[in-house]
Amino acid sequence: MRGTWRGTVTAVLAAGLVLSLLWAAAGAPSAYPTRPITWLVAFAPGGQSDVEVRRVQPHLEKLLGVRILVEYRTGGGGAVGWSELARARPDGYTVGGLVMPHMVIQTLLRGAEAGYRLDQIRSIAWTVAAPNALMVRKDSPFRTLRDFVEYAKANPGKLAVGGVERLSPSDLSLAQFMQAAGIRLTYVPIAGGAGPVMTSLMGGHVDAATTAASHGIRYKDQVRILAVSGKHRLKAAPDVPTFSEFGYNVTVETSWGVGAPAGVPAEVVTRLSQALLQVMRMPEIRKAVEEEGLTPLYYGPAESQAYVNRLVATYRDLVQLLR
Amino acid sequence: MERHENGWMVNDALWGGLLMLAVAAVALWGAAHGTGGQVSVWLFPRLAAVSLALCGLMLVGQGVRAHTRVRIWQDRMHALDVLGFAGAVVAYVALLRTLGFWLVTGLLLGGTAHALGGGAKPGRVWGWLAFGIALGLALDALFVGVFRVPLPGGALWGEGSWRPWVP
Amino acid sequence: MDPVVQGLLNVLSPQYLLLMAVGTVAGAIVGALPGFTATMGLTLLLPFTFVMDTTSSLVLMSALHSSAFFGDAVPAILVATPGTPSAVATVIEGHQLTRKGKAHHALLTALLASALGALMGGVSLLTLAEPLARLSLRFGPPEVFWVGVLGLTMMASLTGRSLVKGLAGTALGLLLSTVGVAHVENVVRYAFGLPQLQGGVDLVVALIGFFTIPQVLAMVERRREERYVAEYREQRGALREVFRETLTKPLLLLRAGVVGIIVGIVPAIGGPVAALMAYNEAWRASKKKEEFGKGSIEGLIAPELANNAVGPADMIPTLTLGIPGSAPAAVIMAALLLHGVKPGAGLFTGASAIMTYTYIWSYVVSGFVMFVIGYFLIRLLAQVIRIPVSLLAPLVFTLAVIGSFAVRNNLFDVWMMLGFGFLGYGLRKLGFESGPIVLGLLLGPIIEPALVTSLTLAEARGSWLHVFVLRPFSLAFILLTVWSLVRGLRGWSLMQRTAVEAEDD
Repeated sequence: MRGTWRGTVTAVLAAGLVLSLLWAAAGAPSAYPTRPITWLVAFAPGGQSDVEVRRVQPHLEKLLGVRILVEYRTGGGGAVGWSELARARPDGYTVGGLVMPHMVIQTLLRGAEAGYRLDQIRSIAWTVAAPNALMVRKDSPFRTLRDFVEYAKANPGKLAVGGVERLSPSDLSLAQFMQAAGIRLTYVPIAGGAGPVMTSLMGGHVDAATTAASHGIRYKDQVRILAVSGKHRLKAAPDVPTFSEFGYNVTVETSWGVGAPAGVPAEVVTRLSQALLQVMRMPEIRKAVEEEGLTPLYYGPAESQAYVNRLVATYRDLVQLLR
Repeated sequence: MERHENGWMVNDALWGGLLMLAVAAVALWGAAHGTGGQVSVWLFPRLAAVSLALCGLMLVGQGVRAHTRVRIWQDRMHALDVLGFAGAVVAYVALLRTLGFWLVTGLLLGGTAHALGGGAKPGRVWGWLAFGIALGLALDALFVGVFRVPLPGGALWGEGSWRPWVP
Repeated sequence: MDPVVQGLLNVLSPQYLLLMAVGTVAGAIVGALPGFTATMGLTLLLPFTFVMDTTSSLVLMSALHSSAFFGDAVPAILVATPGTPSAVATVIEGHQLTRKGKAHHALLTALLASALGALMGGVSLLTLAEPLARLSLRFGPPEVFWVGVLGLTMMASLTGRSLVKGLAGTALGLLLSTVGVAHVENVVRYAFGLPQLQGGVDLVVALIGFFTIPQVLAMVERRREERYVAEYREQRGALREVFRETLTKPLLLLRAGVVGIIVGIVPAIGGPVAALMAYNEAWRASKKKEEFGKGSIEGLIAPELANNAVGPADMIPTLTLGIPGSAPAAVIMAALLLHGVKPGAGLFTGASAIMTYTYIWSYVVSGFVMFVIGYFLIRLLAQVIRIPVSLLAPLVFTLAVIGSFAVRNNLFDVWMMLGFGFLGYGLRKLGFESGPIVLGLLLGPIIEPALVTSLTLAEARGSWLHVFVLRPFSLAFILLTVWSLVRGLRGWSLMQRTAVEAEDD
């Protein structure tokens, strides 16, 4: 009895296999890309890396004519995802979202243990940047950065400033600020990304918070941004001063880009970067980016390499600041 | 382990306790030689390891004083069943990359169904293996093709690129 | 018309009901496959939602989100594998019921409990979103720390015969959770030079390892005595009995629902902890403690209800504050942002109001849709028991491999799963239950970062007392912990006494 149903099942499955093999044989290759591209996201779904992929995904799929398969490889502060990217086959069908300064910091901090080297990943484009912001609650007594600095000078170490974990842009930019202003604040690392940092601020558990300015813009009804890093004011918050206007040179900012394993063919780099930049230049995308408090970057392959090199030099020194 | 008419017995408290102590020791060693970081990084693991060690000590004490006994396996036949399957399963994972998901699954399904099914007639094996492989291919098609899980196709067969359902 | 009413009418329209049906089926399947989580299902769905309007996308996602936490009960009950981590507590009683031949009954109970949970969660989202969101802001790192510690006392219900072994198991789990990059610092711990360990121990992988593999090995061990996992008995009138059993315990239902909702709004704590806490609560309040561990219906209803209530409750901080309460919530919020909708007070008034309320009502209604669809799915799924162990064991193992591989596309995870599996089997033989180990593994990543952050805060404030104790909610949780500890110990010793008496008879 058992023999017969087993035989039938086997026969049916075998037939199905043969049929599908025949069907697959009828197909023809053409120029890149010819099959779906896998995009590795090194951070958790819903985070900014994810948002950046999803922002471009539908338009890229249309431009390139293939599907983009997003896969998450979280862990190690991004190191897990980037190691996998570095080891992937450089055929253009695996790309990954890159984040600075995280990429650089991992290698500086952990050396070989990080699992990848910067020269193993080819930067294709950098699309958005977010300066870092120092924020307080709307009902906080600090109305300007000056108030904040004065209080800090009078009460060293008393102010608790929350940020995303240690040796992150939050940590580094606060360190730059502390050094520049000659004040001592207590940096409170908070696990879980920017969300918990903002909740801690809004719930009154910390006195201030430092993270990407885009979060301050998102919660601008509850939060006051005292200053942002970088050279220019944010389009989304034109009345918020930069740290440099006060004479504090705070330069740390977070940026997001796309890369592929080193050795990827030049035509892939060109095709991908063209498509990416074309999408980022679309008016509705540009508008959304600016409204979110991000700065669009249009770095193609050449500028990307230079950008990365600049950042490596900068952060090598900065990390020393914190050690 | 002792063998009784009752089965293969072991002093659970003693061995359990020793195992816990061993793990705790590894953890504490790791904490002592751990790479950099501030003191706070090793605080939590150390707390956990110390609690583990204390429990381990209590258990060892219990085991020695009360001579607790627990039955691991009923008899040789049962032990071999489990160990055999465990071995097959280790081989499965070890060969996963080389032979490909569809093949190892096929071999495991067919092989186990035959070995444990009670139908130990020699001719039957091939029937079960064919069935197993067919099922293995179906599962491969489902999870790789529909759910897009990149299960290994088998290094020996060109990474399974011949599978028509690979996206 | 009032957007709340409009939202309800919308959701009951054929177009949206159809969307919900699709989402429900998809969610049930995703939840039922071990290794696939609700988050994964939602991210797979995300690209498809770009071509839909925002409301449709949201309704589809909510249905998937909801039913995934019913789907995960199916493998938990049938083959002792939690389909998602939130089903970890369902395995305990659910599988025992299967072995007693009551698989169909257990599945129906889980279905009803899940539907009720979705209903309760949805109602809380509908009516209490504002106050609950404000409450959730009051929970800072010290509160999270104490809730985590409270969670540790759940060990009492999971520990079986030996309290010391339960403690050891919990400590082991806590230790395992520290492998990988430290949560707050950027330091790698216990990687022993292996880069794959940087990512740490993945929860799903550990769950499959500690629950599925020991079950599979046990199946193989018993195969001479039990050729099938359990006897398949068609049960007439099971539905009526399930309704009677479940709906006559309003306190149980209420307790489980409240646990689910509260855990949903506390940041950083999710479904699995809610399920375990609800399980523990049911155990503590039960007059039939001896049934626990052997197939207690109460022990099945509570976690299944709680883990479904968490889903909509997670959306409370997400919608009102824009802070995602969990990974699935983060994906849904990303979808919102990409459709150009910003979370916050603006969602509930003005142009977005109808869309928002349609979405919220869809959680409430998802319970009903889930029940109808699930009822028919169950008849099909319970047939799995009819597969003989000789085929079922390798099949379940194969699913375990797929599941642990699918999490991070990493073969190393499969080895880890296997390693935990053998360890779990061996430990079980030595009298160490898997429950406490998994509890430790779950709570480690919650307690440790909260502890470190709170300690740093205490540095700034200059006082440990002020940060750790002299806060209203921290105090409340501390007292709850003490109470839970006392009741837990008493309940455990009570269980031991009755067990000993039963043996003497």
